Amino acid sequence: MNKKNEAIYLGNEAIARGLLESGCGFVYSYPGTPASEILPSFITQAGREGQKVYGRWTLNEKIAMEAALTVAATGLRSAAVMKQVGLNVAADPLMSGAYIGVDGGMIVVSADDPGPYSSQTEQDSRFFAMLAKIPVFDPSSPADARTMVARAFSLSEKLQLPVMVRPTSTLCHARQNMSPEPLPHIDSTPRFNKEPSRWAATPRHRFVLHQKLNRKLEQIRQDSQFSFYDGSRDNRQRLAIVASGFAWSMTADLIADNRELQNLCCLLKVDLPFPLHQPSVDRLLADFSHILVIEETYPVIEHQFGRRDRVSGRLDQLIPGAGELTPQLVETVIHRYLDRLPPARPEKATNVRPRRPRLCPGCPHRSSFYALKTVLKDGIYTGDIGCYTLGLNLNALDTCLCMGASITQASAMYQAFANRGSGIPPIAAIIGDSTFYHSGIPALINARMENSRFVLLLLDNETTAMTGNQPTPASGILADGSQGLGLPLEKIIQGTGIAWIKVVDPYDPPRLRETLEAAQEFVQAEDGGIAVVIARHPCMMDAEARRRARRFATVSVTDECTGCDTCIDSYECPALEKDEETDTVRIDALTCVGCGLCIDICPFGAIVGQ
Amino acid sequence: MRKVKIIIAGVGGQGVVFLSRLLAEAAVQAGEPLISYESHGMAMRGGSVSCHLKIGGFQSPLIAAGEADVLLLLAAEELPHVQHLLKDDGRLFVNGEEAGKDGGKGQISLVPASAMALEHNLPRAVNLIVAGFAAAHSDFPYSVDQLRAALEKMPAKETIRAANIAALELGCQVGL
Repeated sequence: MNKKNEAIYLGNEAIARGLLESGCGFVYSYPGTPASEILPSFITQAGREGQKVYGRWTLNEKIAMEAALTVAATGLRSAAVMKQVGLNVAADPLMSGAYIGVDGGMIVVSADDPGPYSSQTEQDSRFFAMLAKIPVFDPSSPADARTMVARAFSLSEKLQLPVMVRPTSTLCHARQNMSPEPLPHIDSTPRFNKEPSRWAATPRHRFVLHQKLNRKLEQIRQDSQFSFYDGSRDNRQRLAIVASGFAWSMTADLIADNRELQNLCCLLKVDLPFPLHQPSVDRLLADFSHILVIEETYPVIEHQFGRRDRVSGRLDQLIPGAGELTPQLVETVIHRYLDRLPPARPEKATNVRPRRPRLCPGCPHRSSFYALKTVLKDGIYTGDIGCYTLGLNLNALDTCLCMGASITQASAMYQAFANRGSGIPPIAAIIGDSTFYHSGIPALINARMENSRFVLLLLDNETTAMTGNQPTPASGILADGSQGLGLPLEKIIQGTGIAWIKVVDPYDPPRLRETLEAAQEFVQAEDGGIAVVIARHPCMMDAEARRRARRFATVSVTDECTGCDTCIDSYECPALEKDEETDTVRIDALTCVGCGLCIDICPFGAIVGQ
Repeated sequence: MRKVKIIIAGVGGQGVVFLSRLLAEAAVQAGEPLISYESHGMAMRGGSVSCHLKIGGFQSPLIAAGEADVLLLLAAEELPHVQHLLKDDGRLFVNGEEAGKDGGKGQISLVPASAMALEHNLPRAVNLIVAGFAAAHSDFPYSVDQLRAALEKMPAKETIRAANIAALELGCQVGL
């Protein structure tokens, strides 16, 4: 029956549990799928159990990394939490922090997204750990992640080194039952031991720190707690499979289900993919002529074996070099390696495409995009990262490079056409409020300095919508719900020296169009420059906003509908559906929020609100 | 220890993930180890969403093609994306009015949950109508009583909890 206080933990909640059970009192994070729930859960669990902690959303991941490294420099335990592309932003302090090290335990949680499902890349954070020369744990399940966080803190404190824990999206979003431990009493107080040759090391001292770092890694490479092969094997087993993380879990389930594979394969789990336990590597190479490495996403373990002739995996293309691993894929790989036919499994239907993500019903961005492409016709729309990347579906977004890039891209587009082109097309940068705070601000100052000209459409839904509606710096509301000091978008933009700023509600499409027209006029005027339009309306994920969005009890389609699909193609509201039998459009009453913004879109006036 | 593999599929916003959490809670209350997986992020914006649940001592939550015992489908049009995961003799509970034209495998039971949700003014509880309907069948791993107990354990506003329980019971009545 139900074990004592057993509960279900989401992978991210299990990581938060691990942080709390390790006595970590400081967590800094920037939201990003798949890591977004770790910080809120850290704060909620602590609050529920009366543990005093400091958890904060930072403007970006670089700040999170710097803050966590600094708290750890005072001897306290801390963590920086982010998604893998966030680690790119935080790379600078991480590389340096690895040399300098820490006093209290400090861990970096960087969540990867094989697939990718919600990211620009499939990059492997474990390679980042390798580049920075810090150890990295690769958990295989929520329960394993919780334990590894504790191990990571011990290792970090013992060697005075930041340590990474790398979950993948499937683990972050897996749920598992486990029994939590009571939280420890945190009695440590901060102390900062001035040691300039370390905390402010000059290049000469950096060389010394680098040597020291290499010695730490060598120590871990020989540490028996990271052994993954002790030499015991069943003599019938002719293949060693070395796996880590979620790839190990899938492989373990597969082998547990297949007696033949159990007899042939010796499955080994690596907890610490870098630095790889050297005695295990040596023993394995002595005992097995063939080794198969299964890991996600890049060949980190495989590279460290160094024996391309005897080790298979991604480097010899047995495993595809892109995309996430699935149980079927792992099964096929193992069978192919053993020269056997994989068992027949039903094929996934290939003639149907999964429903693509789209903006929510009533989403204010949809109205903004529609106005943008109507007014700045045939323009270049440089985009950014957030829900509004879905402007792609509406043909109102042309680029998506990385966080904050929309502004620099608009500026550089302008300079390319102004300096070498025969005419300048309308150019608009589209960025959300949270992304603007994250990395749009220096870009805007830079664009103005270069005297670039474009419309900046700032989609302000007063939240970080894509990742679960975390507060933005505009309100100053902090991660624990307390009130910090807010800073409105307008003030920042005024501070850059840009004078043309208008705030408009996208639920008022005629005014939005007028404003965009005026903005483009200013951009093209003799003394013009950057025009900023802040389209402000709360996100529909907010229940109160959804209630206020309802301007009609029902919105429906009349017999005037010709089935031209204009509304579906150019507006793509999830409530608009094609009735295949009548070849007309209908509105799904369960999905519709009653905003009526689609009424004006129909060229035949066939959408009506009552 | 019994081993059961369940897929729940639908469209973002229908409460697929909530249903997955409900079944997980029911598993814990029954003292069964479980591991499940749900989609987050981009997929939640009206895209196809599916959850995998494995009960009974597994390492990974992902279900391989042809291995799911039960499939709960909140949107009938999502069937082609998940049908391959079902066993040949698997069990399907589908929110829909009529069976798919191409037939397909497994034993299927239909419940018009969307229409029922509108009729009874429970617009956000399509998921629980399907769950209640499924739980009324003896070949579903958990009973309506177990699901109700799990709902009562999960944190929720009282009004929402009441609506959810009403929807569960509504689905159950049709299923009996």
